Amino acid sequence: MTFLERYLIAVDKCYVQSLNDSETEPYKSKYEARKLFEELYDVDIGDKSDNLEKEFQTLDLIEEDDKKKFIMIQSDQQAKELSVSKKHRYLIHLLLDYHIAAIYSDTEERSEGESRLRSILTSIEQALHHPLLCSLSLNLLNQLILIRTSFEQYNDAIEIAKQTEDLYNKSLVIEPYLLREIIHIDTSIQADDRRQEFEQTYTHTLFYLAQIYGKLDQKNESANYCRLTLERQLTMFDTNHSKHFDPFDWATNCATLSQYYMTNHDFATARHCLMCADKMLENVPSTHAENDKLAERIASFKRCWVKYAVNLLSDSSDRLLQAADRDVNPNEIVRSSTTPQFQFKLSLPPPTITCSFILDYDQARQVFLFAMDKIDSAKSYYILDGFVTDHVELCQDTSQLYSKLVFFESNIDRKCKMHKRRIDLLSTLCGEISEEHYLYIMRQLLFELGECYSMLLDLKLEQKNDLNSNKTIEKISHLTKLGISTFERFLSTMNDKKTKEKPETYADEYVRPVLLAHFYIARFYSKFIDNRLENLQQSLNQYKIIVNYVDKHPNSREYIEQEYSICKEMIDLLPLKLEKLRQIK
Amino acid sequence: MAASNTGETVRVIVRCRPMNQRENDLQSQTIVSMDTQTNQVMLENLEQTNEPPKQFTFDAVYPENSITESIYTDSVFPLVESVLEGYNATVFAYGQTGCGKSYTMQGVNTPGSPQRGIIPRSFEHIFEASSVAAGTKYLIRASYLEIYNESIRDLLGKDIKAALDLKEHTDKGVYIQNLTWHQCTNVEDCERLMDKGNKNRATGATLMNKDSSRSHSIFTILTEMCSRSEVDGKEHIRAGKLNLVDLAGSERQSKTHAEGERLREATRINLSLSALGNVISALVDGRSKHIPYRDSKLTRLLQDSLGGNTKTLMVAAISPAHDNYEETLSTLRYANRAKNIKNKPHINEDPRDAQMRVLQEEINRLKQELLGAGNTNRGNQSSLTDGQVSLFVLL
Repeated sequence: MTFLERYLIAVDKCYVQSLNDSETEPYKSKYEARKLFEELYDVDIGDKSDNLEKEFQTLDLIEEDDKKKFIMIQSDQQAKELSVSKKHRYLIHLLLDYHIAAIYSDTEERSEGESRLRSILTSIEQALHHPLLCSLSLNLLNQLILIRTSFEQYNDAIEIAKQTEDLYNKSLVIEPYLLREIIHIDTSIQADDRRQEFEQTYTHTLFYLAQIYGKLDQKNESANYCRLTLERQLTMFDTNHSKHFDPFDWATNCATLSQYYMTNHDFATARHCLMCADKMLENVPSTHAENDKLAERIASFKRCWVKYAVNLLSDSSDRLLQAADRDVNPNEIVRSSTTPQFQFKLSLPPPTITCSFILDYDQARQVFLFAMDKIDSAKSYYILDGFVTDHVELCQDTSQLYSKLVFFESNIDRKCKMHKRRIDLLSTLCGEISEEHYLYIMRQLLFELGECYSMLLDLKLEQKNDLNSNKTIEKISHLTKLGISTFERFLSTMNDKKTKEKPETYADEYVRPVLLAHFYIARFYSKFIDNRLENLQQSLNQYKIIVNYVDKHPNSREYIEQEYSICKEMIDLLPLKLEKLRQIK
Repeated sequence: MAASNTGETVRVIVRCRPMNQRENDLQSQTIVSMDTQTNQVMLENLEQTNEPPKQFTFDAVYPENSITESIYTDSVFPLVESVLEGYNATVFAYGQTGCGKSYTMQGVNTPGSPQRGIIPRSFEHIFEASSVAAGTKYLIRASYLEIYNESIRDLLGKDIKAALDLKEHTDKGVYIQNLTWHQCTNVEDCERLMDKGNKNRATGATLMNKDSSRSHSIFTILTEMCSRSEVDGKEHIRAGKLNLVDLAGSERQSKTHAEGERLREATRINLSLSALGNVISALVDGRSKHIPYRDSKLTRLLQDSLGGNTKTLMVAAISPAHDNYEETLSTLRYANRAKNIKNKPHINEDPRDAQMRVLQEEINRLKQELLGAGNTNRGNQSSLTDGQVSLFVLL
């Protein structure tokens, strides 16, 4: 067996076979591989080729500070070390050292591994980007990044990554040999393929950086490196390396990335990512086994679009409100960028939805219709029976879309109709799913339904001022009753499953919704037109419940500060009001 | 972390097993110390001596000399009691192989032994209750499934290779289609089923070329209790579910088996680009978003057991030896994150600034009407009548 063959066996054992090591002997292969690498130290390399000689013309080996080091020289320069085989032997030793050091690191002797790696680095750092050393350098630096990160020394790792970036940039004008070609240059390899492996290794560097910045909570940086990773993966698509590329994964990651930009109010970039995700999914072969996975993913991306629409409308209304508050021209505040921060190299169809902030009802309606279309389409996959959670979330999105649209609608009648739609949707769902098994969902639905009743009631009361018909009064009474029963049902979901008793104390995340529910009920009672005395008494009772709870649980006050002060005022004022009503009677 | 009365938080306890024979032979050093007063675990890093020990706090900690009996009494007994009352409960067991997970969960299988594991004790608890309860009929059934790579398999089914679907029924909640349930009349029945399932787990692993320690398994005991009510003379059925979840160790899941692709293990940073999705998902933070990345069948399946009057316990098992430092640190971090698992969807409320303003105005008007009008009662009689109309509108 040749040296190269023995080397490749050791590599295979170290990196591929080790994946199958059992949980109880996780490093068996690595230890065996280390032995093999160590054995190769004293083995004769064999013949040399002309190619090697040529490459070594620009690589010299000197002695500095008691250490042998490689340096770059011009091809016509006189080398200090004239023997090519000596240089070659030393380089091969460094290669073996590298693998051995990596094994130390991989088998939890990281400090040992790191010091060995740094020693190798000293020998090559003055010639990092020589074609023969390039790959070794890159792999070595990557290893150091991993080790530094494992010690949570993130800033050290980032510094090393900068060196890597510099190395990579310098490598662009040369052809870096593969690691194994340090032993023997392979003339049969296409330059393209040779480059591929190097590029893949560097992609890993960027991927590590994405993670490091994530750990440092520098999200923008992290997102940028994620994007770079995706960009580089994309270069493998459409080439003869496409077997390394998975369009399904790529599309999914791209869609996920869109959600990051979306929650950061960058709709241009979010839109671009989603469009690329959709486009890439078209390249997934719909084979028999993958059919359902693909169908689910397509439906899933539609949900990303729905969230995009909801966020766009939400941000738009927020900004318009800000503009009103600050008395600024809306156009100033809502000006947005329509250019994404980056563009993946995919040919895309023209966009079907805007990425600019919305200014008026017509624009809002466009976004609304776009989103409803996605929802309807997604629902055909996420049917209620089978996908309760997903289906309900889509309905909640629908309700949110109506609620955002209401903001842009000025006509009270039409506003009422939109709230009515929400009420129909949410109340139907509440009747269709088991409260016991979908407790969280039920709570959300009931709360939102209660809010809808409240908003609709307020609108009807406004209308009553103008119309003052009996029908409206009936309607108001009806809505009030429904509002109360909805919030009461919401509160009952918090009770003990068996004893049906109210809890003494509510968990932190429920304190506000629970107290708000009482607050809403209080307000509803005060809207009854008949039986004023009894109803206002009920209203007062609700305010008392809130104040009693907060007084008993002082920590909860922060959740309901504003409403609490109103409750206290009501508790002072309402008894006076009630007294007056009694006198009138 | 005090358990709130609603019982909707996850209680997390850590148990350190004693040094084993091999570790004693190698004269391994102990790097774990625990303070049972403050419920803290301290972990030393022998490689970085200038670093202070890492500190973690949990609901309870059990050092090397602890016995499983006390763990059961403190932490598990109330859970199983709640199941017998008709609630759901989940016990998660987490820990790397060789770090004492089965020591705590299975333990020494001799009845009466202080180190008998949590699982056989739970079985005993349930069957003891069923044998002494007069007037209540018990139907106890068990199922055993495995989740590997988001694929669900029935460990007690005819075809252990078949992947089952997770579905949500509007009435029945989350369920696994075609999962088999087996009746148990005593502790031995349960243990037999568990053994059978464990064997199938190992067999399945060999067949499908995977490592069984990298999958999650869920053994569920469904206790249906039928009793006649004294109040209305009718028969009432209560059903409680006890889920015993064996969680896969997380670090090793980052390996994939792509041929020829060189992957290197390193702690705390994922090497496989298939983990890119995780990295991106971690960046997304906001109220309205959708991550098309992972199903997490485990979370879906345990949804109705992770809240709503249910009790959840996580038992993290660690080893005291210095050469398990990485695993121990990883486990402690995982358990630490588990303390914050609430899986509770935030109840969104619509922005209420406008509403609050209106309310404040109403109060002001009410004040004016009530307090201001006090002294000028007669003079304001007519305006009070008008005021009343407007108050109907406002209040």
